Amino acid sequence: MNSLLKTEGLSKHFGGLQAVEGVDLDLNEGEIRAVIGPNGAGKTTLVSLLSGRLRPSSGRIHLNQKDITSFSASRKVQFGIVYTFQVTSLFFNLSCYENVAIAVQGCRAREEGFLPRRESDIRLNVRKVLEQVGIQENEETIAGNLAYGHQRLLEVAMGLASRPKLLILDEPTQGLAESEIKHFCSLIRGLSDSMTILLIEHNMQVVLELAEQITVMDQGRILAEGTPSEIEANIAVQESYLGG
Amino acid sequence: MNRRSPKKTAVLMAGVLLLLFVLQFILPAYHHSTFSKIMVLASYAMGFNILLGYTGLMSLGHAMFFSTGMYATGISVYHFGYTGIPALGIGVLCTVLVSMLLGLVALRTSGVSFLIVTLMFGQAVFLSILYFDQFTLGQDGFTLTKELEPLVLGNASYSYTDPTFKYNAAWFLFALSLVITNILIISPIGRVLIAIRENEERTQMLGYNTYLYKLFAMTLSGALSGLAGSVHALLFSYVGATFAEIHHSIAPLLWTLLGGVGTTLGPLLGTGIMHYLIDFTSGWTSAYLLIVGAILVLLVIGAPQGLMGLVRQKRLPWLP
Amino acid sequence: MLVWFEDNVALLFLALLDGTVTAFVLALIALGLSLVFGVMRVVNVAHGEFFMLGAVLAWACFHFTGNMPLLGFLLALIVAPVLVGGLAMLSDRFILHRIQYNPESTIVATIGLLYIIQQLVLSFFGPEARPVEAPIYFRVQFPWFGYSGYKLIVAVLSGFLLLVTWFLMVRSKLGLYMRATQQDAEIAQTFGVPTRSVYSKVFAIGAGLAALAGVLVVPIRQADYLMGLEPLLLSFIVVIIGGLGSLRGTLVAAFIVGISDGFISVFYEPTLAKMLATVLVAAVLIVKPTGLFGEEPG
Repeated sequence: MNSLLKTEGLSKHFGGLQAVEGVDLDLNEGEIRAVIGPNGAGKTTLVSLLSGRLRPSSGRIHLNQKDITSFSASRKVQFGIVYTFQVTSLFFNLSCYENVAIAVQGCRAREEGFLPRRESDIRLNVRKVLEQVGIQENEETIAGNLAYGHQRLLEVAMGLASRPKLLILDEPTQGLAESEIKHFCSLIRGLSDSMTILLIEHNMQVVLELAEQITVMDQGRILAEGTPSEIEANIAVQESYLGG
Repeated sequence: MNRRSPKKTAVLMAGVLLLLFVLQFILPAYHHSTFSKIMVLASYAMGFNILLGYTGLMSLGHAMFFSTGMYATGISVYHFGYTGIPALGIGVLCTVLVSMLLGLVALRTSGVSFLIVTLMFGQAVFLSILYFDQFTLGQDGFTLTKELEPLVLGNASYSYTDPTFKYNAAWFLFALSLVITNILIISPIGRVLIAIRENEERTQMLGYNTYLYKLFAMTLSGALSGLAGSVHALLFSYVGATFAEIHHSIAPLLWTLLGGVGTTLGPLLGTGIMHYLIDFTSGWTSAYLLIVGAILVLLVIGAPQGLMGLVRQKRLPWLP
Repeated sequence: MLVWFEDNVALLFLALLDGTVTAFVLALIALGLSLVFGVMRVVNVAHGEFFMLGAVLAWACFHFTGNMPLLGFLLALIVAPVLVGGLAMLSDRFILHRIQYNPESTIVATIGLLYIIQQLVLSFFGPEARPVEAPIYFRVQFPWFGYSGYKLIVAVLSGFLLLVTWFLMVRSKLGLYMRATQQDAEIAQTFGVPTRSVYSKVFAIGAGLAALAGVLVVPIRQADYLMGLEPLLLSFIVVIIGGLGSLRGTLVAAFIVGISDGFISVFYEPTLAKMLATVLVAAVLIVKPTGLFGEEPG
């Protein structure tokens, strides 16, 4: 398997607080990786570093052997790292169509070097993505008026429309109903053929169902790494997370 | 924004332009000249609206663009003897330069800081006009009546101050601004600008370099405002420092808010209403600042979306 | 250099004196603006008008007391901040609170307020500048020139008022509430801080400080309805250089701006000075958006 993303000694501190410390992460192409850990373990900080929302204090990030540590968030998107927000961040006053169209248009511009001129091209892609996540009937609904579960799906749709190499999902199932979680899991599994997925998740059921590899974090460091069954067996983890 | 309707939009815009064109044959002389003025100032407000209404950036220094256009054109005519069209070109070129430079620096800030920076730079331009009085003739400014040669098109020659020419030139400027605004907002660039207005961070996280888009919006907005300033100088034959004062930066804000932020026809409506309101009330009170102030306060409390915004909300969701 | 210095020592000293007086008054005005911004996140464009109202009310008190400068002055010191503070409180309740302190709406609303106040003063007070006699007249003799004693009193009184405000901030319950609200309004509210009344009071205090500055300044520079713009812009400059919302920064910056203003207007043309100051400030904001003394946002 080819390595897609690799970090070396990635650290971030805020003032005296060490949020992420010396993280070496290695993601293979096409894998689904879950990052778990207690609140304040540094998971969101870690993915914020990967997606460029925060600058690391030290350490490096490589994507396909290319050093992208210092790239801005928008450049990282251009290189295929796409982040979906933990706190739903949409264009709440615009329709679902527009929300996704903005993402599609950006992606086309990257691939072709200029903004697309024909709306019909965009429309095709928007509909495809909306269908993929299953909210096609809400095309004209204003995003702010969507049910919460649908807003989460729209968030994912915008991520997909950017055609990522690495899709980072930050607590995607938080606040979703049981049935919605099921739908979500099958959606994510279907995606893993075409992209790598990094998932931050508290719901252990989702993690065990989706993840091929699990990384456990605590206090900014990687505590353990392995397949779901290995992790389940790992006592240290149980103490820090499952038991605690 | 939600349900776009290019056909209805095109019909509406064409209708408005046709109406304004035909009005010149109907209006009595006084209103004829008022309408010329309103169309020029509405174009200024439309330039402002590109930044506030479609990009979400509130500037308190737009008078610097208007006055840059005005003074660059005026000085070219007054001191260097240029005719109208090249002077207009110089005016636009200068504003493009000024707005791009300002954008390069001011767009590093956002929100409240952006407001204050634009206010400060606007004030700096106003003070420069006072300071370099050998060119600008200070606070009082200068008229172009003697220096400005008539416009020659083929065999015909038109005086800039001729009412018919004035009206049609103002109409042409307004039509140009309206077409540019409408094209912008249905274009992919306009879509990104609106995305920035709605949620800049999200737009960045979709891979857009929002700084460049904002710079574009700022430059276009400045250029349109500057063009309006240039045309104002030519048609009304006067160049003066009042057009660089803070009040003249607040004016397009008022007009746009009243008519409807982020609507293409709002600036025209707002400019027209304010003009006639002040005109109308001047009969019994000179306290027009009170009216301006009260309208500003009432708008933000009661109807922040403005008149056209209300129409869009209640009746015509497709309204651009 | 040394020769120039010796030739101009009188001018330099004058610049220093004038600059210091300006700095104290400016600090008072800018402190009000800074408090309001820090606690409420409101950029009050009408702040200069509160200053102007203070000056106009001082003129009114001076006349009301039958041209007895000292009595009028003392009366104005009470009346101006109370009336102006009350007006500010009303504007907070009926305008700012209704628009939920949204930053851009509050700017538009305070611009509206600016016009309303200006027009009312223009209508009732008139367009002309009106002088007010200083409450105390004496000259302090320096080796090179005599200097208005009242100007020095202005500096001292401003300094005293700054201290009072400072004391209020660190010692009183309201000060505690203000600091808590400045840190995080939502959290403050959950801990029982009545943010709504804190906002009203802060807006009133900010306006009251500006009004007091107006009262102090009016014997030096007359009262007119357009006098609010310049201190507003200068306070913006001060608040920006000092860092939006940082009180200590505001004081330091007021001295930098006030004293350099003194020097530049003594030696150069005031228009040029203001031009340079404006551009410089914009540059500060751009290079360091949190101001020279502001804290980096978390």
